[in-house]
Amino acid sequence: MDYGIEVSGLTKRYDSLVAVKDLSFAVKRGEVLGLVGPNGAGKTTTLRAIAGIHPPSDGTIRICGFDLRNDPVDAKRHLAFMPDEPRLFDYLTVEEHLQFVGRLYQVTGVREKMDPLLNEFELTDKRKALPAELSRGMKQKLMIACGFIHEPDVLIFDEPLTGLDPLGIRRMKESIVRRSQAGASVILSSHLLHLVEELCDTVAVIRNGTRIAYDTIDNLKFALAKGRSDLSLEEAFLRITAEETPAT
Amino acid sequence: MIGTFVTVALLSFKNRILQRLRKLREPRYLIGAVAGAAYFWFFFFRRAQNSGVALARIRDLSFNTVIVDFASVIVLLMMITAWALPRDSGGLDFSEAEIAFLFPAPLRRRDLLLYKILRAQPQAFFSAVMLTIIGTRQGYFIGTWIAFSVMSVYFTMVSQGRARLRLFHIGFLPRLGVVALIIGGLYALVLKQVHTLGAITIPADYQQTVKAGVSSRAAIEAFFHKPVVAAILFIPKFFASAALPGTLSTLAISVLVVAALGVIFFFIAAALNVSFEEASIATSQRRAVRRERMHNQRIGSSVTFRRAPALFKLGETGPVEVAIIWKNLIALMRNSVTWVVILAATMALLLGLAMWTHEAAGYLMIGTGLLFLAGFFPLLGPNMFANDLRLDMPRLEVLKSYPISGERLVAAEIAAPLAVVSILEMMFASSASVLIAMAEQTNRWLRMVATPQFIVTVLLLTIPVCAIQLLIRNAVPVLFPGWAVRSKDEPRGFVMTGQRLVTLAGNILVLVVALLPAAIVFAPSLWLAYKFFSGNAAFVAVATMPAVAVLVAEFWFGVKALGAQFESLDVSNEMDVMAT
Repeated sequence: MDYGIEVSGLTKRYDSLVAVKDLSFAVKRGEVLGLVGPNGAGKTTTLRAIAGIHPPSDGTIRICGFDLRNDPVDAKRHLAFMPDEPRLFDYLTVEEHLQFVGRLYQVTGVREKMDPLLNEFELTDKRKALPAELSRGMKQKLMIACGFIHEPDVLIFDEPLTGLDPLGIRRMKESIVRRSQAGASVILSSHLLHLVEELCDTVAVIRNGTRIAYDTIDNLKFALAKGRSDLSLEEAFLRITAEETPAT
Repeated sequence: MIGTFVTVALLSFKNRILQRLRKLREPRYLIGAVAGAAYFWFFFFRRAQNSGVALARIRDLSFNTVIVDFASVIVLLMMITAWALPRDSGGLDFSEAEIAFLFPAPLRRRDLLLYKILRAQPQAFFSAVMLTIIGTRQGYFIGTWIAFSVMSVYFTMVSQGRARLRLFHIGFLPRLGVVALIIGGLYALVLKQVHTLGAITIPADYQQTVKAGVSSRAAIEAFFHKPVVAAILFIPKFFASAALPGTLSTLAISVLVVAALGVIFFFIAAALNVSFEEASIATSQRRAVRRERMHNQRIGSSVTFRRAPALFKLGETGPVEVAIIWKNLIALMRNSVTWVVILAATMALLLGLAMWTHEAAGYLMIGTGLLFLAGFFPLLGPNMFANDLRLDMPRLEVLKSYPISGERLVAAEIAAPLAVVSILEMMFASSASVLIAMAEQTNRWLRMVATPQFIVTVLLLTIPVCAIQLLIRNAVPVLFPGWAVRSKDEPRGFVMTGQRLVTLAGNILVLVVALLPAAIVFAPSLWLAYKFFSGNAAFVAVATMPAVAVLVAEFWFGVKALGAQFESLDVSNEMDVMAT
């Protein structure tokens, strides 16, 4: 099986606090995995570890076959991380952000790729603008455009829809679907369960750093529905987190 | 309602103090607090204790009625000119939380005004205590507090008054005109009184000066006691006497009168009934923007020249380090170019001055000045041009996700400021050398400075020194991120001062330790070069290469170590601190 992301036994400790404990899952190429859980469950910690932002205390992470610990640069070359808070360079314009990231990832034909991206994220008129001149939603869009410029094989989103307007949300969902259909492995964390239900193929539910459910959305709902066919992911999530179902 | 407001004000103040004290449990704040407290103790209290005579004189002067008289004039001018300020929206300074909670609450405008005044009191009280301690006027802070508080009530009343006048279509210019007329009228009155004092002569010797001083003071006192002047300063004098009382009875009377005035001002402000809510929201937003701008300027991330172009076109492929350098040069052009302009203009001015004097002494003086600048710049430059990791720390999360090793990233981050500092250093050193050569000095050392070898030696040595200095500066945010990047609720006062002092001392210490091996190698190699290769082309190589090799090796090891540290840096612990 061809996996974009393979996480095995991921553990992250901060002194005595175990933020993530023995977490394992894998995301196939073209698959979208939703990472859900209550506040403080360890979702962002997991995503940051997969993005190579902080080293795990234990376990292995492989991005497109590259071990993140032993081969971090090659692994990172294949991924894009979109944090929940857009952290842009105050002194670079929209266009310069894309140029800069393009060079970091050795993207050929940045100029040609830039225009459709700016158009996709409605930033064409803002290409010469600095981040201070952009709204929160526009900054988020720029952050995501920077992530897409090198056409990564692995996309990691932490609350991707924060600050976007309805049209932006729609376009973002379409972008994610399009890229996963093109073969990218996508992992996204969100509290918007209808988004997860709409976009994701599989879901991993974590609580207190431990995986308490991991399956396709249909299987999860089926297992918890007990004969009901109208169970939403939201209801399934509430049941799982309330009952502390053992890992599946 | 007053009870609730007082409780909120006191609780907010208490919680703020407790929050700061709680922060001291973290070593980085505790060390900063201890260093800051020690600094303030030495700077103010110790100095104050050691200069009793001077203090006695100050205290004597403070009690002097002349000081009170002059303070009254200042108070009067502040009271009058407040009416001439351009702002007439009536907006008051409320915090965002206060706007969110109090504005929709069932409160009258008068209540909001009262809240604003009461809320400011604990802070004003604390400031008055600090002011009296620093001013060594223990026991009279109550008067200072009341005077400051009532002045702030007065200014609130005036801001409401200006807004009310605007509703009567009396704008800034008519107000300015009236204020100018009042001040002009008062000036004419005062001038008339001054003429009655007679001429004041300038004394010839010290004894006469003392005598003249005493008589002049008496004349000034007499002037201030003239009925017209006393009438003009009648109310302002209560404020001045409350803050600078000569006796306890003066203090008591002044405080009572000023407090009564405060009540009157408050009721007038309330009676003006200006709808200040909308303007207050605008004021609050303006303040938030201003604070953000100041915060960014402090951490060097404020964009000054938005449209400054990139220095070169970034190719699509090639070493990724070039992208980091390109980005940092843009940052330099947009954030720190002011320094480049100031330094270049200073140098151009000095060179122009040297050319204009057209004399050996002028060349020598300015050349020596530039030589000193070249000597200090390796220390100053890396601090001026912080367009490196220090600037990028708030975006650490993103930086760490890029496909570049920590080692290469650190080296690339340092490259841009190093290039700028080196170019400026080259300009200073070569200009100094040329000017000193033009001075045609016979001094052996000066003759040595005036050679091309000197310029090459300076450059060979200062570039690695600057690189090490930049490395040390960049090590601080990687090793101690909490100290290097400050949060929105950053510590203030002596905690921050202490942190800065400790960081500075640490920087200097590490730099000295880093330069020591190079200095040890440099001294004998310079002697060898001077002894055997003086006037020879090999002089520079023999003199500098061993030290340069040591510095380069240190830098290389430093970059490797810092890169490894960067890779293992766990941003999770610091993200809240760095959030911008």
